[in-house]
Amino acid sequence: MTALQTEPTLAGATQSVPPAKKKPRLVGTTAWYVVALFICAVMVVPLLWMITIGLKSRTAVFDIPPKLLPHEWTWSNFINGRRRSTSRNCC
Amino acid sequence: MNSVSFGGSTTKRRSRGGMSRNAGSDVKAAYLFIAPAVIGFLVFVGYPLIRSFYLALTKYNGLTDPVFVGLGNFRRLFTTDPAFWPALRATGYLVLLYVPLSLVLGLALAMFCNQRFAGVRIVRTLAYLPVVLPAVATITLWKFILDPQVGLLNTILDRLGLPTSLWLQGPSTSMPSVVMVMLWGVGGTMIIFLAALQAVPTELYEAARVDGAGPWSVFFRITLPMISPIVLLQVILQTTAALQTFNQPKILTNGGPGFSTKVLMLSIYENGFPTLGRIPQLGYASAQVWVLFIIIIAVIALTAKFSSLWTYSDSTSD
Repeated sequence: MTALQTEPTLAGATQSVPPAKKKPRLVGTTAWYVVALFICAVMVVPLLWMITIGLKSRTAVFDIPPKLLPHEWTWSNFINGRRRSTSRNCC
Repeated sequence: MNSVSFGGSTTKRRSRGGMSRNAGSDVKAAYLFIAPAVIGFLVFVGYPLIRSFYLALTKYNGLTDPVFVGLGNFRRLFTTDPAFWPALRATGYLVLLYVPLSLVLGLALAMFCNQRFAGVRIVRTLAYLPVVLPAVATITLWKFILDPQVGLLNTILDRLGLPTSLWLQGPSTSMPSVVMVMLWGVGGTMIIFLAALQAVPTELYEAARVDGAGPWSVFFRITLPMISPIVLLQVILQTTAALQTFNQPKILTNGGPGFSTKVLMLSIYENGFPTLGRIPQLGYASAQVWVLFIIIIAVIALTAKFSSLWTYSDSTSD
């Protein structure tokens, strides 16, 4: 992990070997970060969605069209979930 | 075997000589040390394996004693069971869809995360995040996201003016959707490829750069051959895992619509542990397990047999 090895130059990603031209490097870097952002979004958005669903009331979960943020923030799901999982005769 | 040699033959011979000198006196101690593992294997793997083979030849409901029926279960499986061939077809479809995509995406992600740029650690961590989360929770979440009416994905597609889909509820889109959910956990494949990429000697890349090789020829002539043993490992691991897929179809679709996502494991589970009111058919389920087992062994044996055609073996590495 620590000793990262230099890979073949891929659009301004490596520091050790700068590409010959200046201009494509800026374009390349931008494209690079767009891809990085896309990967992050694909991985993280479902998880954020899970959290916002947890903050919605039971009916608001099935709103059409669904809203990204809950209209009323409901914390009872977390409290009830915890209580139900710790009580002895659950389910 | 290969023309590339790093003078490894002499080191190999020397180390082999050392091994044989000490081997005789250490044999007893070695057996003692491996005894716990071997006993554990016999009790928890060996016995259940033999027991399930016996049960495959019987009619057994889990309560009364098993009744021996010979190959009756297998005859029923291949000739009269209407669910078996669709299950096999669904399993094959899943494997053919999932394994290549998982390898290509995993390798692409690993190559991306093997570069040096600010924030690469964040991308790596986030890409691996789905793997460490509890599977049932994330799969249930995806069931919500893929819902045609209230799901997040269709909402986003609709806002962007793109066509929406029935996802899990369409007969032809259900299996690709299941595979899509499985591919969300591609970080597991990525992390192994990342380790393989970082083990490729830097000299080779430097030499290629001196020789003026472009990025594509560097990838196909250096990177890919050097990591080919790991690619083989991944092919075997992913195929085995894909043939045994259970969580995703069970939670997302429970086999539907129709038989479109009823994979072999799901059908085995339903025969062995059916819904309340139906009699468990543990003998029949065991027979199905053995058919799946033989399929997996056959696939791995074929992969391993033809692996020497496309994997690079380094004579110094063992």
